[in-house]
Amino acid sequence: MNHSRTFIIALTAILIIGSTSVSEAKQVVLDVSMANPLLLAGKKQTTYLKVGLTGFVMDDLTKRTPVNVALVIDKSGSMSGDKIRKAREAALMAVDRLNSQDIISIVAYSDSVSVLVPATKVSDRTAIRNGINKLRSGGSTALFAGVSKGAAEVRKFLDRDRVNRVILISDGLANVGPDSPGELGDLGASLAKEGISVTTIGLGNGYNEDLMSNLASRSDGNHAFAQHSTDLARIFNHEFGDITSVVAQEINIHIKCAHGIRPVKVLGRDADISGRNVQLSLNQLYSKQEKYVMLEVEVPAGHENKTQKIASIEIAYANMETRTNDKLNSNISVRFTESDRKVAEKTDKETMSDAVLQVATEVNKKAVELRDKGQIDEAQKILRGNAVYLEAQGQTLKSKKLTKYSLFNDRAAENLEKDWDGERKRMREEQSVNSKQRSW
Amino acid sequence: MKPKLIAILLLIVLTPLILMAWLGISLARNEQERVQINFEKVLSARLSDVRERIDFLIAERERSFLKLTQFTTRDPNRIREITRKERFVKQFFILNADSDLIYPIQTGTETEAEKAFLTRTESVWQTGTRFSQSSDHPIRRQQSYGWHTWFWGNGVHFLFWQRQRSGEIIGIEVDRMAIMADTLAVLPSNDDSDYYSVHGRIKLVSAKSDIIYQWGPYEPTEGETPATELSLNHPLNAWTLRYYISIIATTGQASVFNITSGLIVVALALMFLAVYFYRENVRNMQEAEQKVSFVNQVSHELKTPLTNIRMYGELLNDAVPDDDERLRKWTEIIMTESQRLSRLITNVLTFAKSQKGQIKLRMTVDIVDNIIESVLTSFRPSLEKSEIDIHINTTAEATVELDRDILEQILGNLLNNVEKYASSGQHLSITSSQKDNITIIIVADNGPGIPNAEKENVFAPFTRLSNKITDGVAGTGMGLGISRDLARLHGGDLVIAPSKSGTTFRLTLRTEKGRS
Repeated sequence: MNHSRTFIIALTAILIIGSTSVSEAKQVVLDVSMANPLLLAGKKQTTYLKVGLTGFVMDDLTKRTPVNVALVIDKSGSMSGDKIRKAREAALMAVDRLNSQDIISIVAYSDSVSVLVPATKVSDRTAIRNGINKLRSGGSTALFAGVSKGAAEVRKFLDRDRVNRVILISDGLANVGPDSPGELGDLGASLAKEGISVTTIGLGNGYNEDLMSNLASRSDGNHAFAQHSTDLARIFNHEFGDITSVVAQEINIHIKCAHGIRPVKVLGRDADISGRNVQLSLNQLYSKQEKYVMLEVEVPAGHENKTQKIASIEIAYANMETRTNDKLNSNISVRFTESDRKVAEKTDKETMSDAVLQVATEVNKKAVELRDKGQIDEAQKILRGNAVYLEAQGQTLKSKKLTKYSLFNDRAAENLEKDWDGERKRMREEQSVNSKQRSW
Repeated sequence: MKPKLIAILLLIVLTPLILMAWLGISLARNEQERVQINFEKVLSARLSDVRERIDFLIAERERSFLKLTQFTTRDPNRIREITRKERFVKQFFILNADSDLIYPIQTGTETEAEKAFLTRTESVWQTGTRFSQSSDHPIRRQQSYGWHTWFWGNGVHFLFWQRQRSGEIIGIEVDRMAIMADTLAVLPSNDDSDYYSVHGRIKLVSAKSDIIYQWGPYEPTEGETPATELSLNHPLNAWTLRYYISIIATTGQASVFNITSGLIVVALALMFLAVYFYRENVRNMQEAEQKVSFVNQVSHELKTPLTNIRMYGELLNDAVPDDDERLRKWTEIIMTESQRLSRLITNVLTFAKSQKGQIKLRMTVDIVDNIIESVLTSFRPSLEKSEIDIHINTTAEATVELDRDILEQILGNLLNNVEKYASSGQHLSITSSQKDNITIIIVADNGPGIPNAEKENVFAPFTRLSNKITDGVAGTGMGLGISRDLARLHGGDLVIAPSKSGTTFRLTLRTEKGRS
């Protein structure tokens, strides 16, 4: 095992609400690591700090956290035909995956909103199926109103002990109500504060991927691109797999950087950085899934063999199995060396490859920006560069994930002109998968 | 005759129809206006209800914001922690007692969100907004809490503030997306069957007229003006509720349909009646025509044997020895009676002809007085028998062009009337005169006379004055009418001239000087 790696499992667990089964209680696994535990002495440098959280396995799957989900389905004119039919099928499938403890509501919107099934326990399946079968297409796209109404349905049974989620299926551009990615992102952020995540599924090549990915990302939900309506079933399967395996919610992460350490930025996630304090929240953690926060830190020049404390980490979360509010703490340090070779040898390959993935994702986002401005050549150049960088790092760090993303960037570079609509959606989806560690 | 009848019938049908249509339309228009006014009232009431719902929501939010803005900590990290949890709080801010912003400020440790807040609210601090003074509330000069709104970027943004005991102000930048989402969450969706569901469409629009939310099944056309609209109350006063409904289209169509169908029913009924009367009339006319034509034919058939009777009567009269008073008397009776029958038939035939407009003048050259004398000769025996004194004063001696038959027929009718109705007066005077082209003949008797009211009626066909004068006297009632028609045809007229006693007929004829 890598001895310099600080590997702390459940250092502290403070049970706020009394529990009799303290010894059996499972905890989320906190894994704090540095990309370079050993740094070159004598110069100021930046490196990456990773705070990883892995959900435990739930013993009794029948005792899983009940779900409170609103399906918000775009029924605008463009959804007609196969899309609306597949959406109906996916919704029916969702009902089958839920049990009588769960709550579901079905909201459909075009230029106005219809609540087909108000929030209700999944015990009267016939009524719910009848509601779903009323789904017909026609009209324009009041996406904001649809999501707001969906959230209002979830709010009827809003409960810290449930997985509260809105699942949005849309194939079009919002054209009634607020319609900018920023505004929908703000809506997502405000819903996240309530513990409601919005998963967005973009269908076909006509939707606004910036809006959809922003809404999902700011509310800590998943974002998926279903190029064909036949993909809906698969995506629903994954999504319901996720939401029926939530083990922790309302996860607050506080990284307190040590004196002299400057937090530069968090890659791929929104965080409050104030002085040496970095704070952010995750809405939920799924069973066996790792989510992490990748923080770029600036470390001052150090002397050989000296240890430099980087940060202390505090995690607070709601444990969905024990129904308790749990806390986890950890500290992380680095050592300095004069040897370049030792620095390379001691590199934490897994953490480094995650850092590389996040950096490459940022570059990928930059490429989208350039392409949007019409600078196709520049976009292509940095995508190719990204692919080369990922390929090399993939080799060094023995990471298949990086190699795969290298190929993805190569293909994106090819598709900047002929299949840009579809490619842009794939890129946005992959960016969201990478920054939020979507497990599927 | 027929076109005139059709015109009258059309008038009977169209007049009430037009009247009804006009009444109906003006009624409907009044009704429509009334309905529209009532509708607008109802719609405004609906919008007020909706606004009340939103007001209630805002009041609820205010209560929670009042609690939220009472914290005592001034530690930015603590405040950020609350911010991260509170859904409606986009950013807290604190002003000291001198109204200077003390959180968030540029210290180098502010978060990205705080930096963005400072950029967004730059105009708010620059205009030196004093949160404690509000011109809205003159009574409460020192307000302890309130709202402030300003426009930035995509639309209106909201600040809520509360004054602390210390004089500080703690405020919230309210998350506009959260407040928007919350507002429309309390508004009905399309399927709601509650009181707030509508037949038209209600839109909540921003200051830039962008739709924030809408519900109701009606699809207004682009650029349609709303039936009524209502601004939301502070702090959402930049937003407006608009009610769209097609009043004119719905109720207007209904009343137009009602009026139209009513008119069609009435028109059909009237047309049925008109057609019925028209057909009745035509049938009557046909029947009358058939009768006239029958009488006409019969009269023609009678004429031939009558001519023979008169001819042989005259021969017989000539052959009767002068001393045989009895025979002479009998033959004279045959003569006068056959003459009367002949006049009767002539009248009937003339009437039948005049009905068909077939009478034509047959002008010959003659002297009026001679004709008078000749007619009088044939009447003299019967007049004398009725002991009527005959006074003649004739001065129409010129040779003129005239239809002798017509003059004879008219005079015959007039004398016949005297004989029949005025024998009690025992007086008959005939005066004739001529001036230029006009011949005037006056026939006066001293009988019971004709009442003034009846003076026109005696000329109408088939009219006999129903009083004791005419009772027990045979006649057809055609004579005077035909006589007048004939006189008019001859360029003159037959009228009853005013007289002290009895009846005076004044006959005028147009008689051109004859070329002798």
